[in-house]
Amino acid sequence: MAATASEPKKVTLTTSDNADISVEREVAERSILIKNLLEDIGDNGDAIPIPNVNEAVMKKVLEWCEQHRKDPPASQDDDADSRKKSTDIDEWDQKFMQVDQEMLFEIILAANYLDIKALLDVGCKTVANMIKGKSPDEIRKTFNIQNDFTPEEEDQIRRENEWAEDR
Amino acid sequence: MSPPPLLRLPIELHLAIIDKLEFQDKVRLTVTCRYFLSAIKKPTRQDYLAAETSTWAISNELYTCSICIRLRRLRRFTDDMRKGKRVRHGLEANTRCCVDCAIDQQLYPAGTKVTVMGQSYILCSRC
Repeated sequence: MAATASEPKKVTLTTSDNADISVEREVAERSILIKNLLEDIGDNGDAIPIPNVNEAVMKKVLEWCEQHRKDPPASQDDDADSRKKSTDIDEWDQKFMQVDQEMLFEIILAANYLDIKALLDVGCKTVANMIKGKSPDEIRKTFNIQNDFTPEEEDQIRRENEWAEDR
Repeated sequence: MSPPPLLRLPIELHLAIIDKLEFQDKVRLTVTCRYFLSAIKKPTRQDYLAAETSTWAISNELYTCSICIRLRRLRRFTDDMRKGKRVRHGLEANTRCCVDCAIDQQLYPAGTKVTVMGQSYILCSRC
């Protein structure tokens, strides 16, 4: 037998804060951005700069990619309207997303930039679930949103949505 | 002070999140601040008519008024407005309106007898 069971191919990513992270190519390629980059430039062993993501966030994202490395690519059905509204998240992903809001939104931004649709989807679902079933005031508290309406505007909004205040 | 993390996302990501919300949660987010009020499309009459058939609207006894275009509670409608073709899903649900709008539009001349939740009322000719 030829020595085909060689070490899995690795690539190096350089984050915005200049950290080099070595990762298996298969894992990194969950990111369509990285996958396309590797296809375009060819894997010449050079580090790939990821200027929009810092080390802490990149490590977190790669942890997700490692867990989901064997996932089948998203099918067309995933965009169907019936699935869109579902905010079910599998258990591992739920635990993975139990981070502070700073990190949660950094992950969402990174998933968007790196083009990892499934991770972006989990992130958006997590935020949607944090909004679900809350009153406007509870939503403000959860996300630290400033109520910037004038009293007159608030009056009008209240009139239009008299049902919205109670749950 | 930098904006809170949620508001640091670009609008397309806000829209991706909003897309995953049910009608009532979407509206509640809309009314939290000016930014979301401008980012989220105001529900149309059709949106309200669709929303009133959800289990959420049914359990909260909400119906659409097609004149002031909003959801209102059961007791803001005469019983006739919720019967026949004007039931939820009804062919003429889009012609239902609340008591306040009906009076505004002079659909009920003074002295008209209306029934709200089984109780009869006669509209006063003075007020």
